[in-house]
Amino acid sequence: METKHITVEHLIAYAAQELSEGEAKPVRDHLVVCPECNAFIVSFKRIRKLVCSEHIQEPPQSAIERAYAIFQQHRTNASPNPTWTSLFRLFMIV
Amino acid sequence: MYRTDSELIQACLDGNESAWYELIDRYKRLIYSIPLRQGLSMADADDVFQNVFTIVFRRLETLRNQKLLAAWLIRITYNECQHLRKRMPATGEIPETLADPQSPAQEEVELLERRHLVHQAMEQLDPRCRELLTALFLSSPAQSYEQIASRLGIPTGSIGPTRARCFKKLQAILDEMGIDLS
Repeated sequence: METKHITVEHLIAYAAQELSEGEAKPVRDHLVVCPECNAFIVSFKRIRKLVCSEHIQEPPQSAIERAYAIFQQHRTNASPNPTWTSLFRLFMIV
Repeated sequence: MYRTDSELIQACLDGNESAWYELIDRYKRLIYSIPLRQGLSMADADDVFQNVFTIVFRRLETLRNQKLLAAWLIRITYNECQHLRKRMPATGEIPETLADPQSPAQEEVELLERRHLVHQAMEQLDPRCRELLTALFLSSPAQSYEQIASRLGIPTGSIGPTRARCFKKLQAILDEMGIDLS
């Protein structure tokens, strides 16, 4: 017999504990016999746990600006090291 | 348009300045979080952050497997945390939050990498989906459908179906990125 799956919408509401006990019970019963819906719940919880990670922190804007500037500084400070392309361009100009 | 890490690295190596900014924006949270996680101060975290990107700028071309960028950055950041700690004057005090000063275990690297990639996948969602899923994952206590609907300007009845579509999109992005969370 083909298993009738629970909708993603309903599974999410179940995982987010938004359902009443009366609504949650049939979902819980279904999860016992349906590996696919169960896998969805496992995947949902793993993603939520990773998103909720407390250790991801935004650096201050000043630190980001200084990191952006590394590109400019190094490009300015870099000793000119001619590549074949640049030598070719120079040759064409001359 | 989203560029893969490999495309971003190549553009950086080609001297594309906007690619460099994009690389920083993509990894800034991951890199900044590690020294804080290690118990270093915010000022020290700033120093580590600058040092890491200076090293990345100089050594990006030596990264052979460009798919391992996140793991490479995590290891560089841990090394920089250690170097900074060695330069610190000994005070005799050990911060209580100081984590293992040794190199990170492989599981730790993988966990940080996964967190980073899931956050990246969230960034690729359209703003409405991102906000809906953020409310779903992070709100504690959970926001009511009415609150979410009023903030996003959508009917209460469409929250559930929209959220389901958004979550499927997130799963599809994670699949594309090769992340298996099953």
